[in-house]
Amino acid sequence: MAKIKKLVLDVLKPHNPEIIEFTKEMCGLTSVNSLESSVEEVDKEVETVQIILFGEDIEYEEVKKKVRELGASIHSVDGVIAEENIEEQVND
Amino acid sequence: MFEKLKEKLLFEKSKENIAQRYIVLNGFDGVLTVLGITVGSFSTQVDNPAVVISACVGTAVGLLASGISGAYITETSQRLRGFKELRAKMLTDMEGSIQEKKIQSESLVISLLNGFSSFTFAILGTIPFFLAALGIIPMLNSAYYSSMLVSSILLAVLGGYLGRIARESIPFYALKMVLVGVGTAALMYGLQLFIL
Repeated sequence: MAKIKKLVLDVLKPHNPEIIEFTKEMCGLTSVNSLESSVEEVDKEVETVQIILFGEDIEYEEVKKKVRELGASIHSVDGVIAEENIEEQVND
Repeated sequence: MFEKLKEKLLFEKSKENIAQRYIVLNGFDGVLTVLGITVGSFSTQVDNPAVVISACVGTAVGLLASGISGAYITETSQRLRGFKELRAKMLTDMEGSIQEKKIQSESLVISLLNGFSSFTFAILGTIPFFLAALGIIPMLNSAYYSSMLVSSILLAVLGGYLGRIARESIPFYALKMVLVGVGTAALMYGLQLFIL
């Protein structure tokens, strides 16, 4: 089974928690190793943020749950990089 | 640890400002209320400390109850409205989100600060009467003068704190607050003389 190594998300979030706090919280996920986020558009009470998650095996459900917990919502999944586990294939 | 707790309960700077405002406003209420009772009792020369203590403590408890319940209801309804507006913008129910959870926790923290601020300041102004009840200081007129002095110091502290927040002259703000206290006491004393 392929593992997700990179995920690009378009997220709508309230101004609070701020982007730094939001990024730190998202980075605390067990399946995420590092994260890059940038504000794309700012509205009166909300902002659109692009977040790029990197990990060895990113669990999308865990990411979705955390985004929701932070009061944000995923607008779209804009990019994914997945890799087959070579070790598993060799063993098979 | 305090910073962590503050961050957990009130993660926005604006919430911290609300808390500061409530502490000063209600502290001011607590001090002036007890000052009013003290001056009123002083003008009629009440010599039983228990009478003044029960009046002050009763008022302090009233301020505590009204401070907590009033602020809690007001803060919750305002936050709920803000949350509903945000939810409409987000186009999701935001159920279980930190914003939803913080409506209750922030309202509770602010209302407790609100209630206990007036209660604490009112009780501090009553301490000399407790000392008089214990026979440590005479009721006439040491307890009265001490209570007025404590009230003035508390007003100066609150004024100084406001001066610090405004980044203005701390002594000037302290003096302004003390003058409000003196004005209140003079008004109360004058009214008592007029009534009696």
